[in-house]
Amino acid sequence: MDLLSNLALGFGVAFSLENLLYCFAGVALGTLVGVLPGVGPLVTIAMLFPITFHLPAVPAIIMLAGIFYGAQYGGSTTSILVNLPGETASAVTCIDGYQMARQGRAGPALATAALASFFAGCVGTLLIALAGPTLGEWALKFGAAEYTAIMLMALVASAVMTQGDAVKGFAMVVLGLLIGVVGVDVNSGMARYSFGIPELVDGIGFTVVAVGLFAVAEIVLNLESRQAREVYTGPVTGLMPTVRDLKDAAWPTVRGTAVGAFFGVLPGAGPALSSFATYMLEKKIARDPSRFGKGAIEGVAAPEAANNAAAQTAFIPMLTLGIPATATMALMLGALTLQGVATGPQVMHEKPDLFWGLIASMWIGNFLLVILNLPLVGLWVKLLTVPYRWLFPSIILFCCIGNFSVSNNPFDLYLCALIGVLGYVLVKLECEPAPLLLGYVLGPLLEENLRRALLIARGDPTVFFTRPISAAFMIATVVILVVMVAPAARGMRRGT
Amino acid sequence: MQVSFIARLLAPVLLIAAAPAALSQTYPAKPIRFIVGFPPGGTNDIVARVLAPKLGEYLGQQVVVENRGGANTAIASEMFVRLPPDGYTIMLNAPGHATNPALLKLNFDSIRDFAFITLAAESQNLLVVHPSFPPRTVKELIALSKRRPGDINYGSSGIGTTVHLSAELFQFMTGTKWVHIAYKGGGPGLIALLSGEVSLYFGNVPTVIRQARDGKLRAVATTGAKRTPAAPDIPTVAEAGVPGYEVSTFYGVSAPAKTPRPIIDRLHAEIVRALNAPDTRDRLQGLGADPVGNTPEQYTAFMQNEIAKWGKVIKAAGIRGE
Repeated sequence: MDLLSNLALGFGVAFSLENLLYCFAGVALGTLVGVLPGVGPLVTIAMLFPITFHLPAVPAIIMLAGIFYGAQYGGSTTSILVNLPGETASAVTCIDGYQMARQGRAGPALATAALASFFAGCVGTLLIALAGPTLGEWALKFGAAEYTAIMLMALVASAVMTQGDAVKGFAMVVLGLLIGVVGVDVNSGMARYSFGIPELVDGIGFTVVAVGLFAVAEIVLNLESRQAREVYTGPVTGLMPTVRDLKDAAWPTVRGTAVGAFFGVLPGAGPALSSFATYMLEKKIARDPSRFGKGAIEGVAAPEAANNAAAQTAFIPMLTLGIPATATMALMLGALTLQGVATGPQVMHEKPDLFWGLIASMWIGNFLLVILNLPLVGLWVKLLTVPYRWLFPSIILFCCIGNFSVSNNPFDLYLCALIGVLGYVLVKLECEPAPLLLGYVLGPLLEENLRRALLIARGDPTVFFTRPISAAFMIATVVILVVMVAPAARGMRRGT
Repeated sequence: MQVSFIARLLAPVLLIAAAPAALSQTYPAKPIRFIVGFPPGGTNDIVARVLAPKLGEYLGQQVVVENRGGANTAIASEMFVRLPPDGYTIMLNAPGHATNPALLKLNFDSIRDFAFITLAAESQNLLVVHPSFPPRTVKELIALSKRRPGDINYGSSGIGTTVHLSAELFQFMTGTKWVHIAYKGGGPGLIALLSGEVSLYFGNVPTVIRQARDGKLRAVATTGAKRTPAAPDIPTVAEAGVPGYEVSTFYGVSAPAKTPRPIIDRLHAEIVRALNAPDTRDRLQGLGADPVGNTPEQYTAFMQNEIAKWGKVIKAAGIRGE
């Protein structure tokens, strides 16, 4: 079979000593930068860019790719341990991961995250190998109308995110939406809510919002209580997940992988949305949704699987269409271009060693990441025994380094502190930060695509229903809405 | 990142140590910051990272690339013009430098606050269309646009980018009217073109040439004054029917105004030397950028000309940034 011989070629390439070393260097570095908030794969790859001049194309791309997906593993570590999202895509992991850590289950949470990521990484890689070009072509079927319909569906489903008061949840989504649209409007070029501050013209960065809302607010909250600060209440009960944990995490991992792989192929959606989407799905279909937000293992497994699957399938547009969907992909494409490798539909045939070598290296890389991350679990959990008076300044320091490194601008630090205060106030008002963050991610995407779709259709709103994929998502949106509203309506009727 | 971080920590100490009189003899005595007005990852960033190691080698000091993204280089410029003019900070200028005066309210002067060193490299855009879009030449495109005004969608990588402004200049000079569909970055914009959501796009040559060669897109014309070495078979817009049309995506290097002339001359000499090094030349050409390396005077005149040109086009097209 063709695939097998191709894979054999790929593994032959990837298993050379040199390529193995670069793969390991890539994933190790990726884990490291994933742990640090803000210092993401993009900055790291940019730093290492000149080094790739002195490498052949294959080890260069293997290393850069390793940094990219390795960061998805590392990103969950600080989310779980100290409520500090290391990467954009791991913000969702904070919700249940951090609660697990507080209950003394940091070990199982971290191990589950690593295992779920491993599974998703393998499946994602398999998808590239089996159906890369088909999926690449399929992604082209998603235009502005389709994106609008997906975003609308996600926005309607976001009501699931909230734990308590639905009105408060809705208010949070809207607040996030407003924060999200700060800056230059893509369609008109107008700067909105920038108050003449040049730093706001490009909008408020995800790291700033997520770190402020989760990490900074949490620290302020912990410092408030005067008694001995026992943030981590539960005794540490074992480092590895139990059989029951694994069973609970298995299906969410599979579903998370599917959702993540889907969003990864779509260049306009991104891993952050994939982790939110899968979290909402899990909560909706769970037998007891109230466990979510209180340390449900599904809330760790599913989003971690999703972001890693998305990280792998995000390579599809680059490898098969030669078009980078994100800045990180653009940088990798740039590295390949400088090596004289032109990616595109032909790359599989012209450079099979590169294409299949990269795919095989992703498998090996994911395997290395699990080997690297599982033993680290013990070490990370020990970190929690550090007295809080030492821990919290270090967390703040890492927040600052991370936020600063994004654009080397102190303004981002002040903004992050301000959002930290907002986060604190919100907790005091019993409003949850997660729906806000979702609104922040979704709002601008929805607006951008809605206006673009209408602009292309010259103002004709039926475009959302005449295009089949868009229509399907619109119908699904209505179904979700009915499912959610129906029990409430029935309850009201019974009440009267 | 670590290096730049340490460099920044040490900078004040070293500044005090370096007496101004000794500047030109001992220059450079410490690492040089190379400011890029974009976040890591774009072509500008890559160009800076291609140049930096070579320049550092020739200057005998490390040249550290520092990203400060935002507002199409305006945020970096605003910080940059306030830095001491001692030759220890240089900046990569992009087309945004020439278009921002017309788009944004700036707290600096885009000419007077800068000491322009050299236009390092220039690249051009390639007008590509979806294969199902009928026009094969510039003349056919103009004819179709005149028949169906306001009917054709063109994509761009964002408002104020050269991708966008290439199309605006085309409409300005030919009296045609298209509808602008803006995307967040070149990737999404190109995907929209591949899928046929938009009909035409002025993409940077290396980002679209491959798809054009594979038949996924059709190349119509390039935006430069001369044909690009990367695709000498494709005519320029100017020779294909719009005389005088020219859009250059440029990468220039400047220092803050009042940087002493001997330092500017030294930087100029080493940057030109770096541009002429075969490996740098190859890498820049791989990015679709042809090394230039003109004099500070030529570069200043070029910039004045660009600012005037885009000011006119942006005003005529009614584009506003704030």
